[in-house]
Amino acid sequence: MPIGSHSNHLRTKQSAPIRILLVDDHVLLREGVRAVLATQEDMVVVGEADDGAAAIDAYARVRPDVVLMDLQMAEIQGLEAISAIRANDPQARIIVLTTYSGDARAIKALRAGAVGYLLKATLRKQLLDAIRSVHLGGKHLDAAVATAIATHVLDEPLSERETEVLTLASRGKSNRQIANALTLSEETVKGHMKSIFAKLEAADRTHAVTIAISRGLIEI
Amino acid sequence: MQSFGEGRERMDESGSGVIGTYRAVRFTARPVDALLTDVELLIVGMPAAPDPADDITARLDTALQRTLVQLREGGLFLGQFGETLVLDRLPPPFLACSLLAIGMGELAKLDPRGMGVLGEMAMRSALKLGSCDVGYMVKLPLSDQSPELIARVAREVMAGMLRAIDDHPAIMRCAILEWVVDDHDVPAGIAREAMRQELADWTN
Repeated sequence: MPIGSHSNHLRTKQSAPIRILLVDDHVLLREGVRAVLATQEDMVVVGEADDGAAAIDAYARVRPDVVLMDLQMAEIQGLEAISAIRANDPQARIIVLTTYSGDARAIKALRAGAVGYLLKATLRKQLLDAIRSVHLGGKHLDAAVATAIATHVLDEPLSERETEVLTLASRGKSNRQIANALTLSEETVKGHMKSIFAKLEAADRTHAVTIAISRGLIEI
Repeated sequence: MQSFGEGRERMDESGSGVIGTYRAVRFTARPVDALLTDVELLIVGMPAAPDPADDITARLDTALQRTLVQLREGGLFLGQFGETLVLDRLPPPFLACSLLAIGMGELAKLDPRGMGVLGEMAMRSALKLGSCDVGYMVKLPLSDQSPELIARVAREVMAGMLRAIDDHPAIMRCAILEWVVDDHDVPAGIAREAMRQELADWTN
């Protein structure tokens, strides 16, 4: 039975609001999130940054309680920024707010120290819930993202070289062209492709590329 | 300290599942089904190691395509004592909106006081999230379910929840938070009576 009216909210004790840092290279997105957070008595935006490097600086300066972090940004990307912030402050509470639903990015983000992973299509209440629950010290995931993560969290990951090979394949390169680009023999590239097919359970290279893009294993 | 519902404690409903009301939280004990109970927030316990007797987590995780077990195996949610994970937008067949999994740690080390701490954490989370109705399914799956142990656990859990309510600094979104304690597989009368007693002692 939601009360609905703001004036009916009952406060038993005063507490400091949750201090939030917004990190996203899209001004409109930051403005939208700021507008949502401004409606909450227990939250306040204390800083903004438009790339990973600025996020690291802003975090050190304002020491927010919670960071909302995009992954895809110019200069230093979100994952790198998460690792850097957590290296300086292991208690940092970072929620990834991204358009990418692929499990690979989410797993990387959580392994880097993020405690929440939300899609930008997420609803207002879920965003607010996530901020509140990570502020209490917990983790917060969309159930569908959690299931996607769980399905692949124990998979053997692609090696760095396999990722390079598959990225070039996604750009239409033949095995010979990939071999030339990476200074490998064509036989070695074929060996990498075979290993990639096995790890991704792919029928052919097109299938492998499709899987890798949808799961966020390669960037295009 | 202003509080909605103060003085509305119900102490005379011993024949029903109602435990009582403390401030804006109404406690009831009845069986809760992890899949079929329509609540805003479902709270379950997650031990650090698989427990064959833990049918709640097993049934729930089957519906979640083994998400919790695989997250534990992958090191992303270990079930360590006090660790929490919220899963939002639960898929069908769940009727609940969200799931809060609370790490129980090693079950062999978990005592009534520990259960009280988990109860406190659960209540604090629910209040912080502004949940209006909650199904609470964190249980101590011990083989020795003596009446004394059941009563001690129930009192500690209730005391923990009441502490969290007293400490709650944030905004109540609902006039009443309906808090249902799962009493499936528990000698309901003993646990319910112990919780009523704790509530009575707390308010006196």
